[in-house]
Amino acid sequence: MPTPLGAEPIADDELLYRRIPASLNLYDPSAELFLLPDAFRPNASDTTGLSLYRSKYKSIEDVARGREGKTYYVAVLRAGDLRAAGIAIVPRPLEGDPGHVELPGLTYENRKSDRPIEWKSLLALKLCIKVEGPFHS
Amino acid sequence: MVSVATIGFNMNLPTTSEAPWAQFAGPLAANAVARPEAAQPHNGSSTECERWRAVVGSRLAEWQENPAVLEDEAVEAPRLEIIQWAAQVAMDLRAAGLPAPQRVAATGDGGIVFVRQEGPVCSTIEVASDRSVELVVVEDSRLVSRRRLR
Repeated sequence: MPTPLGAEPIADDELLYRRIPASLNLYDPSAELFLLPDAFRPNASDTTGLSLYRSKYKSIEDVARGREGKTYYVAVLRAGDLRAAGIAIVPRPLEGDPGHVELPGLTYENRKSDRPIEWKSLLALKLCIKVEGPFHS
Repeated sequence: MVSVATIGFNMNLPTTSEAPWAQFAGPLAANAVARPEAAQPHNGSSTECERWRAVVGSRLAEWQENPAVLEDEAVEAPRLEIIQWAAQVAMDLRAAGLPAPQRVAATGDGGIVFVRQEGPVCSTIEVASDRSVELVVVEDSRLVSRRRLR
């Protein structure tokens, strides 16, 4: 049986995208501390893991698309960097969205625990390669 | 003799024992504005006062004026009550003598977070949606301490 689209393993050199709403001020390109850890804070829908998207399946513009009239940025990370830091990534394709992946160690339920706090800091302050945008929806 | 500079060791970067936020043990006194001594922070620096005013007077004031700007997909925007509470907490932190944060943001989880980074030490003070206030100190992405301030 063929592997469903998006369910194949994520290669180390794959880039992953995370959308950041501009309005929350979690990213400020003019600031020395430009990206804050809470840019990687799970929300209520992240029950099984923090959502990111594979660049293999979704363009950065598509990832940035959100609520009409709002502005977003997109953080870019490399899968291998996360794994090297001990952060697991699993493919979790959705109906019509094969590029969806999750970080199962970062969920809404455990978001205030010690390890997720460390990982948020790691993702924002060390592992994020760059932030693209702004993108206007 | 090898200079420490040649091995890339920066003796000026603060550690957690030197970063002011990381050292703050609390508790955080309430309603600092009501106390006469709260008019000037302990360190007496007008620059620091200005920095705190920029935080409270800028972003928080904007959000108090129009909390709807924080609403978005998959985001729990902070209630007006929490934004106002965060502004009060900021004044209390200033009165306690803490240097101003470099950033203030909405957490996306109904709260407001103040963030200060000093070298490898990143400290956050989060005002959560349940009105609790917590200081979390992370050094080189390792959690060093966390404590409730209120």
